[in-house]
Amino acid sequence: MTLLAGGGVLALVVSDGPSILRAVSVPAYIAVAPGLACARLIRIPDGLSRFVIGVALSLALGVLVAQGMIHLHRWSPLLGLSTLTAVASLASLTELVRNRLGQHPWREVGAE
Amino acid sequence: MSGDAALLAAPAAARQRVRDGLPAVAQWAAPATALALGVWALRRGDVADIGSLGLVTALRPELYVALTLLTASFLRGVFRTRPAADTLLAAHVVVLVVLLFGAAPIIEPLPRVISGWLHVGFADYIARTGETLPQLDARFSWPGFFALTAMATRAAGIPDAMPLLAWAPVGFNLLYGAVVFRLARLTSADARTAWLALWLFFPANWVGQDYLGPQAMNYLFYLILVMVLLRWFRPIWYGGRHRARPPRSPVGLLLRLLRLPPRPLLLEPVAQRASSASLVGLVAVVLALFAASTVSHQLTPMAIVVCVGALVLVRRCTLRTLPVLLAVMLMAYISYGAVTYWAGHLDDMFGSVGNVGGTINHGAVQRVRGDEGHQMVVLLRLVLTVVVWVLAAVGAWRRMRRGQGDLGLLMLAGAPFLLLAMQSYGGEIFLRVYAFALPFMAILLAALLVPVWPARRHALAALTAGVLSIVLIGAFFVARYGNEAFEQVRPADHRAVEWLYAHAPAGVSFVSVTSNVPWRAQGIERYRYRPIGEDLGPTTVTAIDEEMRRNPKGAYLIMTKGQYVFAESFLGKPQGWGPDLEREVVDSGQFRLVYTNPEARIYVLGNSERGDR
Repeated sequence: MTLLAGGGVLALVVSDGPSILRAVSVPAYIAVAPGLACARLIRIPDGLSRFVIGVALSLALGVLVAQGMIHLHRWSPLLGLSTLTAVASLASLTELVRNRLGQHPWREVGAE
Repeated sequence: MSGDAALLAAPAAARQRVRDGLPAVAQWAAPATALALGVWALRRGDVADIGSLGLVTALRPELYVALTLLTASFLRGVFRTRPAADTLLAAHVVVLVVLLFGAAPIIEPLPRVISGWLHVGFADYIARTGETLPQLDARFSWPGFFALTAMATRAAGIPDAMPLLAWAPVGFNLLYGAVVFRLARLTSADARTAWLALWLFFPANWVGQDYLGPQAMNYLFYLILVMVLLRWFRPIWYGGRHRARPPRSPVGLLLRLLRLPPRPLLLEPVAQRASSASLVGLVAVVLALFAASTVSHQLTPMAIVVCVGALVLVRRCTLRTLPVLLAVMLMAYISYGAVTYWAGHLDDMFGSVGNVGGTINHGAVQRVRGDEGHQMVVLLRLVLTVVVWVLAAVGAWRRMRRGQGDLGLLMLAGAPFLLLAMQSYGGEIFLRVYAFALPFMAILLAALLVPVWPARRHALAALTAGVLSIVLIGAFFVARYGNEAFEQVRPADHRAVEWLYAHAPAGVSFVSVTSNVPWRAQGIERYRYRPIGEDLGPTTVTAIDEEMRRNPKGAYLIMTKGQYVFAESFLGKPQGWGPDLEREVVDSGQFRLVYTNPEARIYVLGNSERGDR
């Protein structure tokens, strides 16, 4: 789901897709997806906590990525979005693989 | 069962289902009606009715009816012998948030609070250039939030962050609510206290730091960080050695004086168990949140360090070295990332360390000025703050009587007060201390109201909770929106500013008489913004003239109603001060009118060729 959403959002931005869809989906993705994918990895038991921790972590990752680009003099919103999509996709892939391989404890937590 | 019996039973079962369903429909009808009625009432509110007491004079009585209905239905759900479903109670809370924090965006045509507009301008600059301007404004030394906003808006293909501005408080408060509920659930024995704490948190949160900006996002970081620590990093065992106190020990005497049992902290919650991999992940979350907080806000990381330090000090957090690590991260960023700021402002940052008296004087006394309405608003805020703190203290006492003191919770309610000794934060520190302590104060406050279950007198408790809720909600509209006369952005002022941006060449000065102008939401670096400031006396016209001549490229003087109301209501200028000043400006013959609308005018110097249209 996160993987599909990430691909969809990137496609919208790159192809300069319909403006309303893009204006809603991109900020929503940045504010929710990367952190939520990581929060799922940590196995936070209840949905409400997972969601708010996910949102806060998404905002935090967004802040770090965006400010990182400023400090590295590589300002590009598309690059930032791609980085966040990569984090989200990596986290959800790990989760997917972990679920497939069975329930043995995984060492990678991928919060960053 | 025979076929006949089954046939007979089917309609009976259906009737039973309908009978069971009716109360459920009725329960859901209450929040739905309250929302519809409240929004209808708000939409009928008129901006023109906003007076010196703020938005409250523009609110229609139907809104209070809606809020009373909502409160009654919520408290009925909470205090019933079998509490209502969580989703139903949550729906009540969402409606409350919309009606409280959506009141201004529904009534007013433009987003309120010019600081939010300025933040849009900061994000706009970063989006255009990919750089920051720490020399221009201290807030650029902590640009994280603006960078995020710039990245998100550009990637979303929207020109700036203005569409997010109006409803940001509703969004942020819903997120705060989710964390406050979890915090309350972690630190209270039953769900009723948690729901009540959540319900009281919103009307008590009048501070107004939830508009689009770093402080609002950082408050979320702060709450989440504390929640993670309280949930997963408390001790699992508090040590069972209860040494008998000598009969005359000061602690024992104090406990007896307060009529508390010998062990007021007997029943403390313990950490939730999690796998070691999860714990490592949670530590990573804590560090990521703190890193983002450090680079995006000046004050919140200090509050986090103080609160985590307090938790570790009383051994309610097992990550003993965390406060040290956080403090190192904070100092590292300040000495690297915020050099431009502290190079010129060392005194601002540390000048008030230890000067508690000065901070209190500056924060509480000097802010009380302005016209009668404004003074009343400030007084109400002070009273509301003290009432919340006193009731929370009584709630804490009541919890300790039952042995449920929860030292971690008490420390978190008290630790933000240490900030008073560290920073004056331009006299705003009181608001921030109140805000940082509020979730925990609300939890203690709820403990005052919820009876020990099963209770015989829960009707009385519900009634008390109802009265307190209604009083807090009533006070909220005055305390939060009390400055609405000048915190709203007037469309006429906005049109004048838009005219400036459309017509003024880059590099000119924009001069105003007070700082209350909705500008700098774009082009922050292209013009010199020069509010003459608070020192407005009989020499103001000369000061304006001098300021305008200072820039060889030219200058525009903008005079708007928003500035006049600010001067009269907040700075305490006499009634009619603004129009009088403008008459002086016109009579001096040195200025020429280039733009006018019913509430705003723009002038240039008489001999200037600029803006001659």
